[in-house]
Amino acid sequence: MNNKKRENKFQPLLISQRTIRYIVCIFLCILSILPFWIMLVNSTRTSVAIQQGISLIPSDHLINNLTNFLSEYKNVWLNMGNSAFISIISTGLCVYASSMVAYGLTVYKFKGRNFAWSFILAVMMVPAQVSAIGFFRFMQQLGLLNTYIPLILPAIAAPSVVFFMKQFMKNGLPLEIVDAARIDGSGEINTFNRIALPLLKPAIATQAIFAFIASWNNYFTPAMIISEEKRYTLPMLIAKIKDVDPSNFDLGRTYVGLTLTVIPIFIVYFALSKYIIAGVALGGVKE
Amino acid sequence: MKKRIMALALTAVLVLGSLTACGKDDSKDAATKTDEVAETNKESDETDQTDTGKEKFYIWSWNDEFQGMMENFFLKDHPEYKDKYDFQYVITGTDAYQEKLDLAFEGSGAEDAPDLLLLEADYIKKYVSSDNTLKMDDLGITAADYPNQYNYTVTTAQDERDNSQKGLSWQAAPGEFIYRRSLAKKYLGTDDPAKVQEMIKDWDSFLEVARKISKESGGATKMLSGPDDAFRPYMSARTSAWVKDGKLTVDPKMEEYLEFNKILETEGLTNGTTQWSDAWAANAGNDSTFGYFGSTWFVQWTLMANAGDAETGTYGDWAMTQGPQWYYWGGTWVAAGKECSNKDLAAEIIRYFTCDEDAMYNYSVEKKDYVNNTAAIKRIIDDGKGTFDFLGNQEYYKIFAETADQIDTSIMTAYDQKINDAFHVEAKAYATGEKDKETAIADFKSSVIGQFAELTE
Amino acid sequence: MSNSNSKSEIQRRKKKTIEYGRFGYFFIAPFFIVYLIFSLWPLLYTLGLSFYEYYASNGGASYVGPNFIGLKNYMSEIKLFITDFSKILGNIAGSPQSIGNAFYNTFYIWFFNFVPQILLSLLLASWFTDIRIKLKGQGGFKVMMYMPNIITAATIAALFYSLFAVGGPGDQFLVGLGLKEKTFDLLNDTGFRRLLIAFIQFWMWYGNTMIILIAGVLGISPSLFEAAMVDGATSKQIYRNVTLPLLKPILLYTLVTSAIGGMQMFDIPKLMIKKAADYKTETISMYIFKHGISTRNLGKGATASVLLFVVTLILSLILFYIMRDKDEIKERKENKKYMKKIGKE
Repeated sequence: MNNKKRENKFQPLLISQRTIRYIVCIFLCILSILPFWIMLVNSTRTSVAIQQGISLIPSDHLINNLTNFLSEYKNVWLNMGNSAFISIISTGLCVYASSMVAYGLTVYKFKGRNFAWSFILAVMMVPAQVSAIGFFRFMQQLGLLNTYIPLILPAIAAPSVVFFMKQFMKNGLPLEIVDAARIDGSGEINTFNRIALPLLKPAIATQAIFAFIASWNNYFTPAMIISEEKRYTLPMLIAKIKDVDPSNFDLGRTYVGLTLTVIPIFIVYFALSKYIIAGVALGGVKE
Repeated sequence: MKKRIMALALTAVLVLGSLTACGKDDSKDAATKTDEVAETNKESDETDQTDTGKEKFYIWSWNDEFQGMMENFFLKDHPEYKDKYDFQYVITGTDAYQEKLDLAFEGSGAEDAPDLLLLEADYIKKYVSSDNTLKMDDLGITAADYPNQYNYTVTTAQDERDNSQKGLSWQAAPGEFIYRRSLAKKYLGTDDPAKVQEMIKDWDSFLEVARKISKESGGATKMLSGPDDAFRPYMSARTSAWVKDGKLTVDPKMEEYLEFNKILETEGLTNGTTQWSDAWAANAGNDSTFGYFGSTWFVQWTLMANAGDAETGTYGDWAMTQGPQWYYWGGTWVAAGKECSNKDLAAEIIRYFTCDEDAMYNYSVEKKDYVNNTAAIKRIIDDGKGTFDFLGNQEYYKIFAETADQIDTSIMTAYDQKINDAFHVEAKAYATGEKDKETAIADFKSSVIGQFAELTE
Repeated sequence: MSNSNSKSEIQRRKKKTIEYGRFGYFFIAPFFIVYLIFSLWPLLYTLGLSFYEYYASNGGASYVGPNFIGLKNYMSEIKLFITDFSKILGNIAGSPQSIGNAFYNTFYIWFFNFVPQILLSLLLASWFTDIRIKLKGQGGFKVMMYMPNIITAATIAALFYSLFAVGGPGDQFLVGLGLKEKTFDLLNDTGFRRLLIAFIQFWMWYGNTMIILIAGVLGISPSLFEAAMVDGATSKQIYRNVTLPLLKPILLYTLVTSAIGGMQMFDIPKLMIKKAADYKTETISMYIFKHGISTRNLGKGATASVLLFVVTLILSLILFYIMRDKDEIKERKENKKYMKKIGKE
């Protein structure tokens, strides 16, 4: 009775508060979208029109801009393919190798296990930039500059992914199952591949998404390693599109190029947003 | 699912294996390469064979201009090379070009080491004065092959250590002031280049005209697109190099430039753009800008590309004159890399673009690029082909020819590009009032010395 | 009988685990081999380079060094760090291209990104977990707010770069509002560019932080909230006295990761400028890249890298210290005292 009264009393206040919250949230959503919307709209307008003013209504020059873009940046599909190649392989290597380490540390007892685990925890926070110069110089000595090896292989050693997988295995991988498999005569590697990995699927999926996006978006390492435009990754192409060659300048073409680079990510994101958001939340509470 | 994971694991293992194999091959290659150059040449000849049996030939550049020249001129005149060689164009973009080139020369033994490379005026000294480029003698090209080149283009590409010829250029790059005819008529009462020249014969009168145009157009038209447009003429007016005996110096002319730049900025005599920005380029196609300082390649490669057509744009509405100061801007040289895998082919290409009078004549007429061959230029003028409808049919080759004779590049240094970049930053900071002059110059010096550890103040 | 049987069983098991132990090495080997080659060795190599004079000279055509010079690189970089950092702080005209400028920019941009970010995220997290006012469409809001985080940073930088270029939409907008008379090179203005980069970072990351905080709040046992509500606490009181203290570990995590991420900031400030020479919003990562990789002053770049490492370490330790659970420490101390007392008695 008492309770009910109180609720009624607060009702108008709650409604106005609710309205304010909705307005703020919708505003933030618009803020998220607006730059991309301007980009999309501008990619359908002529260079002259873009310079005359902002518009939120698409025009009809998309095809024109697109053909201009494709004839000027002939390597765009190649660069996208490069990015896809690097990202897919390094993602595969990253999640597989990380699952292996986490599995090794969870299932087996061996000398140095605790040290290995502490080591992984310790290096998790070291920024990649700190070792960049040594990395660059070493790759140069190995003759690996302008190749993809320095962009792919290091993905095998991803401490934060190992950390995540190990935390997941705590509850997600009952050791009895491993024992049972042994009794059935399954080899160790076989057990890992056929029994452990399927159980780890949810964790692998989340980490794969993030590893893929991180690799796809990486600009620092390719900018350091790759020289040749044909071997560029997508972020490097974007840097080139931004520094448009004024010998042949066209804003509509620039925006269409940027749009092209965003579309694959938009598709992946909106298709997998549920898992991605869940993954972010999991990543945060891992400690 | 199990199958898929197995497949994944398999691919991973395969990739790992193949990658480490690659790595091994490369390092082995590198080891042999540093050992003996002769052997390397043989080895790279072998490795450069593609499946089709074509030999790969690597040409390095920061943009695709030379690629177009190869495809539209050299290979058209010599189609037989198309079947024999696989031309690979390594294009790196302007900003990273020097560092990527340096890395390629550091003897990592990469397969794509430059056979031919293109060099711009702002850093050519660095490459021709090192062992990274071959002597023209080694390619079989002697001074007798290029009697008609502008002398400055020849001396520029000489090794400072022994004055040997290391590169050659197909173009000369004298610069002029290029202005809009219709706007000149409107605000100055004439579009005659001789009369306009008289109005802008020195920097003070240039400023007067700038003020006049800004005032009479009500601010709709400005003299220049950006305050840094006048940098190149001032650069050519210097009497001392940026770097002399490892010491960084600021020529009095550059201090004058700082002041000039500040006047343009504070009085709002330009549209406030930065050189090479989108807006700067776009101003060539509308009435907001009276003129640009530009050299030979600038007219055809930059101005024309952004001018649009005659109806909606500004095509045909331009004219040019010397302006307050003779100057040169840029120019591109071709050189052969130290690991050049096919010297004959390299020589063939260099000869075609920089020595062959007929080829240069044709190229110049078609591309409107001012070639580095006085005989070819004279023929073009005599044939009545030295006019350009873009410039209202002005006899523009004559004007370029007059300036080209004055060019002197003796104070060029290996550091020019990066020093110029650093100077622009501080010039802008001074112009906008962010820093006073002393601070700007001090910051400029520390900025350059921070980048080049071997220099001193 | 049964006794001895189980004993041998244990022995056999023990033997087996030891036997299986070998596989542990096999499973962790790829990680450690790759880490050793691609991370640890480069790290040590960098550390080593920082003690050498070693740079590309003659504009990059040849090398000087390597000559061992001990701590000389550190002395000159630290000296520049102190003088230039204080120069900028003291608003003295001039900010030469140096490590002091780079660290200042990094801190500045991180601060103006993180403070609004954490405040907005806390607010949104409290709204999204409020039991009294349940917001509909939370999933959609989260998806939209998180989105900028996942888009290639290079694209975002290029996009904002063209939006705020001379004559671009940002410029036109300001002119349209009458705030500026003529078109103006906004991106040339150091202050504006710093704040724009900070805003982009904020805009990219608040969604991420918010989701993490929401997960943190949801991880708090509901019974605590119920108890507080039964006691008649208001939303605000619950938030301040229950939610925030329990969120402390997560907040610490966010702070540390954000600080370390902030120190690595590269893509956005790098693509916000036209030329590498424009150092006005140069961050420490850009500084390392410029000197260690572009101009190849390896000694100088390596020294800056080690200093970055030290600063990151100090920052993490400070944050851990500030956010440490004072109550817990107090409790522990009291426990110790209590134990001692008991021991004495």
